Amino acid sequence: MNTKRKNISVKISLVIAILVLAALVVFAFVLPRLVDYYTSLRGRSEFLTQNDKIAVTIMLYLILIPAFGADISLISLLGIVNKGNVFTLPSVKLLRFISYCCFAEVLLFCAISKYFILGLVIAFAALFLGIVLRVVKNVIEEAVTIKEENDFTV
Amino acid sequence: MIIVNLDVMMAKRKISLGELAAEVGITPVNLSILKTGKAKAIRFSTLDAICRALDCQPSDILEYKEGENYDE
Repeated sequence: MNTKRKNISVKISLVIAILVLAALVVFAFVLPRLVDYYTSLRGRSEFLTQNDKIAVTIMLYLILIPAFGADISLISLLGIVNKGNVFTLPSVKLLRFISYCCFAEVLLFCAISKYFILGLVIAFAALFLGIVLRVVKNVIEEAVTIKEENDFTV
Repeated sequence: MIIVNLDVMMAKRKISLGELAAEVGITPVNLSILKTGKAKAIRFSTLDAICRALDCQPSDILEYKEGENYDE
C-alpha cells in the first residue's frame, strides 16, 4: 500500500473513532430518556420496578466508562500510527488497556443481562474482541523486540 | 562480552566519525551506535566495509572480554 492511501486509511479510522466518541457523548446525555422510553413500552413496566430502572441506568453509565476509555485509547493509538512508530511500547500499553476495557464490558454486560437477555450476546462479543486484542498486543510486543534488534544492527 | 574498539582504531587512523560513515556507506547515527557499544549486531558487509576503510582486521575493532554476559 502506498503512503498516500495509507494516510487516507488512517484518517478514515480517525474520523470513525471520533464519530463513535461523539455518539457515546450523545448517548450519555439521552440515556435516562432512553431508559424511560424502554420501560414505558407496553408490558415492560410490569417487569421493571422503579429500583430496576435506577439500577439499569447506573449500569448503562458504568458501561459507558470503559467504552470512553477504549475509544480515547484508540484515537491516541491512531496518533501513534500516524507518526509512524507503531512498534513501540506505548502502543502495546494502549492495546493492553483497550483489551482490559473489553473485559470490563464483559462483566458489565453479564450483569445487565439480568434485565436484557441480549446483554449476554454483547458480553460474548466483547469477550471475543478482548481476546483478539490481547493476541494483537502479544504480536506487537514481539514485533517491538524484533524492531529494536533491527534498529541496533549496523 | 564483546567490546567494540572502533574509537581506538579511528584515532590511530585519524579519521572522524562523519568521514568514516561516508566511506563505509552507513549513516553517522548508526556508526555512532556501533562506536558507543549500543549495537546489538553487526552485519558482515558493514564489518567488511569498516575493515577496508580503516585498513585493519576485525580483531582490531572487536575484542572478547570474559565476565559480563548479554542476558537481559
